[in-house]
Amino acid sequence: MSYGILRGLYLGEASNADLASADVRARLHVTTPLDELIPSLVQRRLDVVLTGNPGDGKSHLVRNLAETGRLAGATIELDLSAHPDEEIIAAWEAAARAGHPFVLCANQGPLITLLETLASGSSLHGRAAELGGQLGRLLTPRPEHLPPAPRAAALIDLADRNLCSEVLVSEAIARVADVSFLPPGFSGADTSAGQNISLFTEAPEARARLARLIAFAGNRQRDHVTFRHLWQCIAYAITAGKAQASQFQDLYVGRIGLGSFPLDNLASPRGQGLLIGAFNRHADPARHADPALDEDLWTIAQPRTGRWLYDVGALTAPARLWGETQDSQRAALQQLASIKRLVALAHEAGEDQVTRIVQDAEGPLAHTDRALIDEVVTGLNALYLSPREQGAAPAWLTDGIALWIGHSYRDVPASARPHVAVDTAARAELTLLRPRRAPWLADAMGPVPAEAWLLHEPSGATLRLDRELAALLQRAAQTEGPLEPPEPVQRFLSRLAGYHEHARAFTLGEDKFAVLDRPRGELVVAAAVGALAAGGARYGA
Amino acid sequence: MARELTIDATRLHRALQGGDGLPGVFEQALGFRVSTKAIKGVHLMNDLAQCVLGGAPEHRGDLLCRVIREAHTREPNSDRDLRQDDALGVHYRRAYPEQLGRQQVTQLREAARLLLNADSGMYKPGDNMASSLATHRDLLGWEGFRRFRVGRYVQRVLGHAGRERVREMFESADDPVSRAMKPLMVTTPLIERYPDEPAPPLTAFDDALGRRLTILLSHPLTKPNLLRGLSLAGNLGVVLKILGAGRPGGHPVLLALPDHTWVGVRKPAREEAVQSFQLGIDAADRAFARHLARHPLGDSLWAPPADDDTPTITVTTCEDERDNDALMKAARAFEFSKKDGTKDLYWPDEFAIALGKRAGCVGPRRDQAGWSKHLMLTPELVELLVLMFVPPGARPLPWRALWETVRDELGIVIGANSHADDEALKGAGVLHIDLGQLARSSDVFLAQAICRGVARRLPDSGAEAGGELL
Repeated sequence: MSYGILRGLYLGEASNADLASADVRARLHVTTPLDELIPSLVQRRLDVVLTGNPGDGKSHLVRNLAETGRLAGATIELDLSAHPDEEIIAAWEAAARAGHPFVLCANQGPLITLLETLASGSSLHGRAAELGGQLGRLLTPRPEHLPPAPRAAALIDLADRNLCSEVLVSEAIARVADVSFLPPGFSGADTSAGQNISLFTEAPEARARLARLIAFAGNRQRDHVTFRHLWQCIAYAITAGKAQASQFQDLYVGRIGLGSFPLDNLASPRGQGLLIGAFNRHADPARHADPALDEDLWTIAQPRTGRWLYDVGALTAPARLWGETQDSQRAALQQLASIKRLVALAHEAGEDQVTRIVQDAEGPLAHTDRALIDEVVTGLNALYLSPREQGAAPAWLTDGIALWIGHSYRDVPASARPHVAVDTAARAELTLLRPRRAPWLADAMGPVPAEAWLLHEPSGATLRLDRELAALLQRAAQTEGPLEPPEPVQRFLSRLAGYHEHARAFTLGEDKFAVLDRPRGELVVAAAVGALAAGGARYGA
Repeated sequence: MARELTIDATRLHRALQGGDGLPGVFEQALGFRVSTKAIKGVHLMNDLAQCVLGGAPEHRGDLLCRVIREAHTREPNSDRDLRQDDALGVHYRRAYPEQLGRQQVTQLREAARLLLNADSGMYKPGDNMASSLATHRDLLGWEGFRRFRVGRYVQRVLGHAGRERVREMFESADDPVSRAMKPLMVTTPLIERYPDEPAPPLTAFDDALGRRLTILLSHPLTKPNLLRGLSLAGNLGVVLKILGAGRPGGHPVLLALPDHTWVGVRKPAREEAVQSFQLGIDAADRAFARHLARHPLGDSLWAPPADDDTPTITVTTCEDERDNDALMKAARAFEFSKKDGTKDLYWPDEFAIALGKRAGCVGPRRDQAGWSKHLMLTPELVELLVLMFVPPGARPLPWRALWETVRDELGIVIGANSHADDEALKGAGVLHIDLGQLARSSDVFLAQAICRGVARRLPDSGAEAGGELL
């Protein structure tokens, strides 16, 4: 191993299975349940197709399984895009004739094209149909869409895999937290990278806490996290992306210690990468308010109770801000942030600190279905009718989801349009869909994503609930003042109102309506429309 | 040999803009008039509805105009005035029974003002300015902007299925706005004050636009939102129609930029977008010049001015004395050189810019020195394009395939297929295209569509839009 490989993980080089040696692949291999599932499928004589995002680890996984003899008897094709489809089809058909399982790694676009080709006249059309039925349906909120257990071919879509579990991330950190990645002749104390590796080897708690923070950050953000993203994040935490020469320079100028520990590296604006960005937004301990701890750090540069888990050297309390220049204030705040990050990883008090950050990781989405539906209904109503206005509103506007519809043809945001509601969607018509995996995948793909869909059963309209929307709805229910209704919410209400327009017979005389000057604005009127015996309609109270 | 000719400016303006019952070149080429900068979506929709239904109610929308103008105390719009009004009192008293009380009636009238006049399309009764945000035939009013025939253009491109859908919408009162405004609806016969007139044949662009607008109307959304979508997409269509008037099949080639604030950097591909917009104007001018040669006043344009007081334009022509391209350029220069603030001639691109800015499809929104115009798509317009190109219930369309079709049918380019888009723009004369900038601009569109919930990224860096995602 070498420092170049460790840094190459940040740059995306060493994590590319096609560029890495077998030794490096073996060293970086993190065991997951797929290491058992794929061989077991092959043993059952099933063809296996792995697809997913670049960096998801398709070819790494298959190469590793093959190199350790666990795909014996299978014909293996590591990259569909590397050969013309005709060659792949010929190899697959030959394997099928010989009764050998076929293992294929394929990007999704070319795979779809291949399946279309196979479906039209190939002897593999049955397998193509089975794989096509699995594509995009192995993780779905609709149980009726889940494919049956595979009979001849199984699709493993790594884009559905959730890597952001504490155990897996901790295992990945352990793979590279090793002095063999340091330049020859250097010990842990000589470079900042060495210091960070020592931290993780001498204080396993630090490794576990970093894993919790990274997993939390990864689960909080919407885009899929690949192994390449994960390695990028871990390698940057250790090396800050510095070249070997820069590490040597650190030794000579004394840039080791506070400010160069893993969480400082991750918080640096120079770090690039999906997971590094997510850490900055969601998991940086310095951005989480902790008044009691802050007071201790301002005063004695460490928590009042507990001990350090690693020798961090002597720390001095940051200079007080009052009366200082702007530069020194900034330096003091940076010093405080660095100490706070170090406490999170390397002090006994850090356990509670990290727990407070990652607690309630799923937010309202972890609530029971009924509780979540109630919260969502309350939040959706509050997006339009603020809690204060609800006090003066008739009960029908908050019984179910009030279907507020904006009305203007001008290019203005929804929050500037008048809105009208004449209907609600009853709570009894709402159910919650949670994502489910195909049962035969068991737990091989990690935890299911923290998201849900609110389904209006009569119309089939759905609203996707993720952490951000759930948090916004919570905020709406607890605050006053302007909030822009998110577009998916507007479209959901529009679909429900559209369904009511077509599916319900209205009886004039029973119509209630309400008009808002704008969402979270004034409820201008809530009244009724009544029918007249002579025809026509009139307003009523 | 270059020659300078003196042309009668009034005659040229009449030929271009029309007058005295004679349609101008702009109207002949486009199928609608462009001599205004004040028209907006609500006018287009009022016109469209009346073209489809066969006119506006005989009552002209006067009751609605008076109901919403209670705050105008110098007009006889008070509760008492309206109850005692000879013509409208009977309808007013029915809608607002006295037992409701003054405060409740005032609240109800304010609600009507908000819902019907949020876009300020209504003015005094009897002034032909009664464009409410109508969702039903009985809420329509008489409107002078109908003379520009922009709604008629949209009605023509919609085709039979689209027109029937619009008719069905305006004859149904089951949507939230119509249900809330039901007491204000007075059913009277319809009167068509702007009957259909001969119009140029529809182009391939018109057919595509009509087909796509019809798909938009088939989505299972509530009527007020569908009408909003039709208005915004219709405005976009009119802008594209004008900027494609000089292109084959009427298809413009316009690089659209996202409605996005770039912090600390120049807007990517802005120069290219501005170029494509200007080239569209230039191509349209050349097409108008060709129409000018066939216009009934075409020959007389080259005759000497009638008298010395007539305003004149000096045209420099080459060998061919009747160089209509030179005439168009001279007319633009003449209008531009006027210092007295008068406006005799409204150019179609000015009309497109004014309309487009209100619909969010022409940027920048504010006029500022050096900020040239370009096609812009707000996230809402991107959503509407997704709805227009992916029918309800269909599978999501690959992001690149979606924009390839949008480019081929409507002439909007965003850079989603950078090489093919580059070729299309080059073919239209856009020079020095930076593919990197094009890709950055396109990425913003995708990010906005994902944020809006109408697209999602796929493995392998692809994306898809519409269909089951909505």
